[in-house]
Amino acid sequence: MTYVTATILQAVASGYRYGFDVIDATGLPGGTVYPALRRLEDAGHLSASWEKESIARAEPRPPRRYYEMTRAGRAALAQAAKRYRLAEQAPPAKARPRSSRA
Amino acid sequence: MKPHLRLIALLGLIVPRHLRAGWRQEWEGEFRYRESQLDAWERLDWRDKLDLFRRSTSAFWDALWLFRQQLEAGMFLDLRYGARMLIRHKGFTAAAVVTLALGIGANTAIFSLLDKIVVRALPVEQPDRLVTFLGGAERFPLAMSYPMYTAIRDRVPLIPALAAYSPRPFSLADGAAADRVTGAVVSGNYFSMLGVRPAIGRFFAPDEDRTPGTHAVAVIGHGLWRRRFGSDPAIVGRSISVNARPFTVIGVAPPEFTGTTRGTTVDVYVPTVMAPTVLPGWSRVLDSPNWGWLHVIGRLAPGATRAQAQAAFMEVAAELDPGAKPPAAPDPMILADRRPQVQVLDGSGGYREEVENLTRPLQLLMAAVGFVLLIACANVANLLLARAVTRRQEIAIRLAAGASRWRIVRQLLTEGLLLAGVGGTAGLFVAAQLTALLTSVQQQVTYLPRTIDGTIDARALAFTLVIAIVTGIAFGLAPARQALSSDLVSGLKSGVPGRGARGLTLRGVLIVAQVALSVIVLVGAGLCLKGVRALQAIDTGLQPSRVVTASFDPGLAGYDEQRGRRFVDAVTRRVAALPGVESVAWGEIVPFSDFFDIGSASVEGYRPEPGERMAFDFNTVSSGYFRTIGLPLASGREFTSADTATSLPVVLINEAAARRYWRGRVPVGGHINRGRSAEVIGVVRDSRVKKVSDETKPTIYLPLAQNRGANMTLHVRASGDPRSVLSRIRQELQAIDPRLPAYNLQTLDAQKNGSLYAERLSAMLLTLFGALAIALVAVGLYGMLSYSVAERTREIGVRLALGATRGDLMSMVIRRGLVLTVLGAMAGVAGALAAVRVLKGLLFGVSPTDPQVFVLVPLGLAAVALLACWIPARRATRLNPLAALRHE
Repeated sequence: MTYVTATILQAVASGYRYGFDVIDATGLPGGTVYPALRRLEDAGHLSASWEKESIARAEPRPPRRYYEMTRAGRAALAQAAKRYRLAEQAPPAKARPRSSRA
Repeated sequence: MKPHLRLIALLGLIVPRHLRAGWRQEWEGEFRYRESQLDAWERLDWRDKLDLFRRSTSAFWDALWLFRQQLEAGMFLDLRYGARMLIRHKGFTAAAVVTLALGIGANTAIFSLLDKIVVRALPVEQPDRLVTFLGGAERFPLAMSYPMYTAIRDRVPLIPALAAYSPRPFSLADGAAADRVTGAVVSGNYFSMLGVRPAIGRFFAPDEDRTPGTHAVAVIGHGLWRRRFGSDPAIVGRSISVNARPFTVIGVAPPEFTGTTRGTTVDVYVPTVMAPTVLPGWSRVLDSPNWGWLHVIGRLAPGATRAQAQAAFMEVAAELDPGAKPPAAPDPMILADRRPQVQVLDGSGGYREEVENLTRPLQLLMAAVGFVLLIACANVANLLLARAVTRRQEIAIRLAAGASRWRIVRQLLTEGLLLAGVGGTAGLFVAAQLTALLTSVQQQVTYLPRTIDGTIDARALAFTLVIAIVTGIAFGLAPARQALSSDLVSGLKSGVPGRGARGLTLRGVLIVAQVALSVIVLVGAGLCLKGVRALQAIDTGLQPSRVVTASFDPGLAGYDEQRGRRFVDAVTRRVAALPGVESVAWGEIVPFSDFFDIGSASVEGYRPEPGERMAFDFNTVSSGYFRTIGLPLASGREFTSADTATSLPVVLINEAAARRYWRGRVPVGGHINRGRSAEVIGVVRDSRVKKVSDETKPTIYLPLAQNRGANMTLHVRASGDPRSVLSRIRQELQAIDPRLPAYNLQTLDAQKNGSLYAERLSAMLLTLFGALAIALVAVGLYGMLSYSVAERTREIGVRLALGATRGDLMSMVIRRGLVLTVLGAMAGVAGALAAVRVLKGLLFGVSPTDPQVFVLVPLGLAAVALLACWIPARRATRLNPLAALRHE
C-alpha cells in the first residue's frame, strides 16, 4: 500500500467518509483521492453505499457515496501504520452527524 | 450549465456505461459541496470559478482509472473467449499457426544470418566513425608496409587514430598437441583505437609494440579461451606456444569481438613488432618499405568526411613516397602502398572480403523469404476472411443481445493478436530449428565464415512478429467490417449467405497474389538449382573423386628448410606404404581452395603489348602430382626424381598459358623467366582449380625439388574408399609429429562442394522456400474453395435438384480455383521476368530467362493447385441434394 493510499484509508478510519470530505481532510487532489477510494473498495478494504435520496433531497444536494472501513481495511491500515507511523501524522478524528448516514 | 459541471458530464463519457450515472452523481456532489462553501454562483468572482473548473479537471484521472479497469477486465474476458474459439476451431487454428510459424521462422533465421554476416556493425565504440582502406579500384584491402604505416600513422589529422593488423594462420601449442588457429598481428593501438575492453586481463601497452622482438605477449580470443582453456580465469600470465615461440597471455578479448574482418574469428593476437620472430621467413618484414602486409583501420576526426580523409591520406602517402606513380597495370597483391589510389570506405562493419561472395546470395534469400512471409500473411488473411463468413451469425446474435460494436471489434482484434502470438511463438521454434540447420550445414564445409552462430536475431523476430500482428489485426477485423456493415436482421436469419463466391473477391485477389509470389520464388529456385547442377557438371579437368588432401605449415611449427624436407620425405614414405593408397604427391595450392599464388614472369620469344600484364598462377608441385590428382599431360613430360635442386631449372605450363604466350609455337623446350630462367618441359591440360565457374588462367607449375613451397599439401589418390584412407593418414601424421597440425584433411570432392557453398546454400534454401510457397498456396486454395463450397451448399442443392450432373459441379468448383491460379501464374511469370535480373552474375550456365524453368514452374504449380481444388470439388459432388436444400 502506498503512503498516499494509507493516508486516505486513515482519513476514512478517522470519520471522513465521503469523497470531498477526504479531500479536505488530506489536502490531496480529487484526481488522486477518488481512484484511491475505488481501489480500496475493489481490494475489500472499504465498503461503499449511496446515501438515501430523501436525505439528499431534503438538504438539497446530490446524494453522497459513503465509504466505511471493513475488517480487512482495518488490518491493512494497522500494518501500514506500522510501516509509515501514520498514527502521528493522521488528521484529527472528527465526529460526523449520524443523521446524514443512510 | 456551469463549466465545471459540463466538464464532469463530458468526462463521464469515458467511464464504463454501467458506472457512469453514479460517477457523475458523486462528482457533482463534490462540486456542489464546494460551491456551497463559497457563495451563490452569480456572486462568485472569476478566480473562484476558475478554481472550481481546475478542480473539475482532476475528475479526468478518476474516469481514466475506471476506464482502464474496465478495459483490463474486458481484455481478460476477450482473451479467454478468443482462446476458446481458437481451440474449438482446431483445423483453422492449426492452419493459421503453422502458416505464420513457417513464415516468421524462415524470415527470422535468414535475417539473423544476413544481419550477422552483412549488416551488423562491429561491436566497438562508435563504429560509424571507423574507416577501412581499399587499394585503388580493387576490392582488396590496402596492403601497407610497416615503415609506411608507422610514418603515416600520426600524419593525417583527419584520421587521428590508425591501427594496423594482418591476419595470419598460427600454430598454437599448449602441451603436446598443436592446433592451427586464426591469428592476427596487430598494432599496439589496435584495441584502444577500436575502444574494445578485455573480458579479463589487459590489452597491449604502447611500449609492447615499439622494439622488435622484445615483448612476447599475446591476447587470445574469447572463443579460443572457452574452447581450448575451459574459460580458465588463471589464463592471464600463462605461457602458450605460438608458432613454436613462447608467448605470455596478457588478456582475453570480449566474447562479441572476433576481429575486424567479417566472417573470421581471430583466436590469437600478437603485436606487430613480434612479426619477425613469430612468422617464419619474415625476419625483414618490419624494415622492408615494399612489403605490403598490413591492413589499416582508422577512426575519423569529429566532423571529417571520408572524402576529405581520403584526399588527405593520399596526399601524405604521396609525400612520404614521392616516387610512387600509378603502375601501368595495377597488381592487387603486391606493393599496394606504392599506388597513390586509395579508397576510404565506411568501416563500421570492418573488412568484408571474406563474406563478399555470401552477401548477394543472402540478400536474394532475404527477398525470397520475404515473399514467403507475404504468402503466409495472405494465407492467414484468407483463412480469417473465410471464417468471417461463418461468423456473421454469431456476431449478429451478439449485437442483437446488446453488445456494443466496439466490444465486437475488440473481441475480434484480441483473437487476431492471440493467433499472431501463438504463430510467433511457434515461429521462434521454427527459426531456432532452421538456424541450427544452417549452422550444421556451415560446419560441414571447411572455409566458411565462422561467425555464423546459432543465435536468433531479436530485431528480426520483432520485425516479422509486427508483420504477423498487423496481418492478424487487419484481417481479423474483416468479419467485424462485414457484420457491422450488413443489417442485423439478415445476419440473424442466415449466417451463411448464398453469394460471395463469384467475381474477383478480396479472397480471390489474395490467392492470385499468393500464386504470383510463389511463381517468382519457384522460378528463382529453379534457376539456382539448374545453375548449381551446371556448376557440378563442369568438367574441371581433374578426377577428384578418390583424392584426399592434408595441408601443413612446417614453418609455423618452427621447422627449418632441412627439417621440413625430412618431414615431407617421411610423410611421403609412410603414407605411400599405407594399404589402399595408389599414389602420393605434394602441391602448394589445393584445388578448389581460395588460396592462390599470382605473379608475373616473362616468356622467351613473346613480346608483351604496351601495358600488358604477364600474370600467371603459380603452383609448386612434386613429382607424381599430375598423376595423383588425375590431370593429364598434353605434351612433354612430368617432373621426375631426376629434377633436383642442382639440375637444370624446369617448369610445366598449362594449355591456357601455351595458347596465350606461345601462339602456335611449341612450348616444350622454350623458356620462362621469373628471377631465373627455366625450361618448359611439358604442357598439362587445363583445369579449373580455383572456383569451378572461373575460366582457367595461364599457370606455371614449379618443381618442389627446386623451389620452396610455403605450406605444402599432401595429395593422396586412394584405390578404394578415400574416407578410410583419410583416417589412416590422420593416425600416421599423429605418429610422425603431433605438434605439426594438419588442416584441409578431406577429400577433394568435399573441397569442390565446399567451394560451391554459396551457390549450393542459395539453391537449397530457395528450393526449401519454394516448396514452402507451394504448400502455402495449396493450403490457401484448398481453404478458400472448401469455404466456398460450404457457402454455396444450398446453391449446389438447387443445381442438383435442377439436374446438374456431378461433373458439372466438379468443373464449377475446379474452374474457379484454376482461373485464380492461371491469373496468378501469369502475373507471377511477368513478375519473375522482371525479378530475375537481380540473379545476373549469380547464375552459371543457365539463362535468367531459361524457358524450361519458366514453363515447368507454372505447370507444376497448376498441378498442385488442381489437387488442392479437387478435394473440395469432390466434396461438392457428394452432397445429398435434399440435405443441401435444407442447409442454412
